[in-house]
Amino acid sequence: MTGFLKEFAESRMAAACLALSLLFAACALFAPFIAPMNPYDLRAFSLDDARLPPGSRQVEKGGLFRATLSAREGAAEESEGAATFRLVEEAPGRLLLTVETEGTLGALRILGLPRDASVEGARRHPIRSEWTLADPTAPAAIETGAMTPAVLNLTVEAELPATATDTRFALGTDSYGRDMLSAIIYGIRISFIVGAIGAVGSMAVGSALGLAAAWFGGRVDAAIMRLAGFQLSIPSLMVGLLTLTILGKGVDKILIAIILIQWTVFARTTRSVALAELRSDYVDAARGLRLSAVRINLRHILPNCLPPLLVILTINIASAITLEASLSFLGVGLPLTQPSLGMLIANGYEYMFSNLYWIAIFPGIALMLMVVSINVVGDRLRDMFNPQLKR
Amino acid sequence: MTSVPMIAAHELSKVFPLERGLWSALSRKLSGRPPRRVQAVDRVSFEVAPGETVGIVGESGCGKSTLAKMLAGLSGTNGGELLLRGRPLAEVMSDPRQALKVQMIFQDPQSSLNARMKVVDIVGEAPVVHGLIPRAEKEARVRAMLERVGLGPEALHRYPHQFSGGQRQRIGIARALAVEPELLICDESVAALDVSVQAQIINLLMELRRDLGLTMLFISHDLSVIRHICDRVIVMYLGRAVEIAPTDALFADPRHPYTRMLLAGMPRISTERRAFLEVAGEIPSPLAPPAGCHFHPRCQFRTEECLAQRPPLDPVDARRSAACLRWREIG
Ligand SMILES: Nc1ncnc2c1ncn2[C@@H]1O[C@H](COP(=O)(O)OP(=O)(O)OP(=O)(O)O)[C@@H](O)[C@H]1O
Ligand SMILES: [Mg+2]
Repeated sequence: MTGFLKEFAESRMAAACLALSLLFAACALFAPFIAPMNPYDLRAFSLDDARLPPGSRQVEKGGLFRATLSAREGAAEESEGAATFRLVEEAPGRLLLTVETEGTLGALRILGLPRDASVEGARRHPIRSEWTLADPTAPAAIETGAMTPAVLNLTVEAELPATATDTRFALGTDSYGRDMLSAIIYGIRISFIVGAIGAVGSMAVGSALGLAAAWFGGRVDAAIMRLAGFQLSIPSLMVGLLTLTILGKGVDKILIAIILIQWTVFARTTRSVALAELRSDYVDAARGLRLSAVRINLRHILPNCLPPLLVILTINIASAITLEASLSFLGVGLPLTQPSLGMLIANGYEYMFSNLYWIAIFPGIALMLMVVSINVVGDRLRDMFNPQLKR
Repeated sequence: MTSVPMIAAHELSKVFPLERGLWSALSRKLSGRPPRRVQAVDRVSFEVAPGETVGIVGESGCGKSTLAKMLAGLSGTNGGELLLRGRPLAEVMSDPRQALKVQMIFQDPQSSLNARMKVVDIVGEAPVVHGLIPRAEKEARVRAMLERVGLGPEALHRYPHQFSGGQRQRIGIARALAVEPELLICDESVAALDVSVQAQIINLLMELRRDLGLTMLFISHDLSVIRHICDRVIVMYLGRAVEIAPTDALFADPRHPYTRMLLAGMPRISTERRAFLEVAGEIPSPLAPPAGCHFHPRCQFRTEECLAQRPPLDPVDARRSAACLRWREIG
């Protein structure tokens, strides 16, 4: 094993790509522990942070104090946490509201006023009865209109100013205020897992069919290989699009599409290696020992087919990831609840021209790095298993 | 031979078609030529008694391996009858326990062991699968088998590539012995080995034959080996058995011209060099064997008759027979 790794690392590039691939694999496995935020947790992000460029700090809303007051005897006082609300009937039909807090207020809102009431120096919400003071530090003067102040029930919201926190969005945020880095890590998780399971599934299906073709020969062989040839003549994205259009979105459907596309390569390779192995005496020996065909194929022949299959597996993980990303980008892949890298790129794509480059570019870079590094690892394995290239 | 023969082959044949598929079938139909095929084994009849060691000799391509594989149930027959201990081969092969009684030792120690399996699995798999021993006794059985073939218990958990050719051949023998065979078919089992190692393996096989009462079929190019270990010899030429005789009689008084040529090519005194078969003349193509007696183009005794008719395997005396029209005049 160490000898193998040493030989592998003779190519620096391959060693670096192996490290990178392992990093991506770790991202896939441990995303919840690595990602700074959980992009699925609606409480973890807020629209206040939407579309921040890379490196921005997360803002934290100031504390909110809320009280309901009624100036029944001409004055009222209410305490809520560190804030004290005072309401005084300064003149008939005119109330004066003061709020005392530690530090200055960031915002002051008055809710629940009747239609004809008004607040000096404040803006009314276009629909709701909500007045926002322009200067939250000064006392607010309220004209109560036709209603006597004594029956008025006011709700007052006092908010401390927002502060920038130490949390930074290293790769910016998307249009929902989600941390892009976390979204990418979770995206890698989905892309990588779908790619790996898809390729491993293809290997299982493909090598089983390849073994059957080699073992039975004749018509079985011809039928399986014709099917593979037919399959290979259709572009893989086309097969994927067709499958998902017919079956609909979903992880399981994507996996079916990947297996439909990739089984052929595994079947062909397994068949050709198995045909060579079948000529070996050890297969005759196993048959002479009356071992079952299933046992001979799975325990004797298949292990001898594994080295080339592992090379193809590595490369096909990369191409399954690409395929899934393409399909998700086109909108037929994964559902919205499972945002893979392809979907992140698709989401960010609409902001490309409004200068919000980071929403699409960073998932794109992550996808590219992952696919390229896995491919380099696969190529290196292929070189190592190919005796003709060895010194 | 009073007891039931271990093997009784009657007119056993094997044909390999060389053309398959629609296209060649069509072109054959259009041109009207017969399909190309190889008659690898051509109506061979013989018997082997229990406990006997019978050698099969003949030039490369004469069908020795094909015959061996038919006897071991590894390839089907195309005509003829084959009885193992008096029961038809198909019947024997349908009962796994009985089928295990015939085992083969192969030529190439490299390819006859699965490179990705440990010795303990190579040798111990079949006995466990067939319920000859419980799984828990697998290691003990393999250790006993290895000891039997002269390997230590340290071999148990190694892979085939960690052994020399001779050791690998011993592992192959242990694998066969582990399922308690009665008939051992050795197809050129020592041909790929060093001369000194050859002798060790042959001695091992002889020991096992004696201790376990094995019946053996020993295929070899090497006449001196055959002479050394076999009770009887079958000489094959282009798929046919041309002479069957006890070893002493065959070497002292060969009755088929082909056997005579084989023996003439053999060094008188056993030297360090291997005594490979050397026969004058070209071996005819098995695709288009000569008519009549296949050997006639190379035969100094041939007559008009030899070109026209296949010579039957005639009994020379009680224990030997030769397929030559003129065996009486030869020798
Ligand atoms: N699977 C096969 N398909 C087609 N022809 C075959 C096949 N196996 C053997 N033959 C042919 O049958 C003939 C006999 O082959 P076989 O291997 O039995 O010879 P042999 O006596 O064992 O030779 P050698 O001493 O070289 O091992 C040869 O002409 C060979 O080409
Ligand atoms: Mg042979």
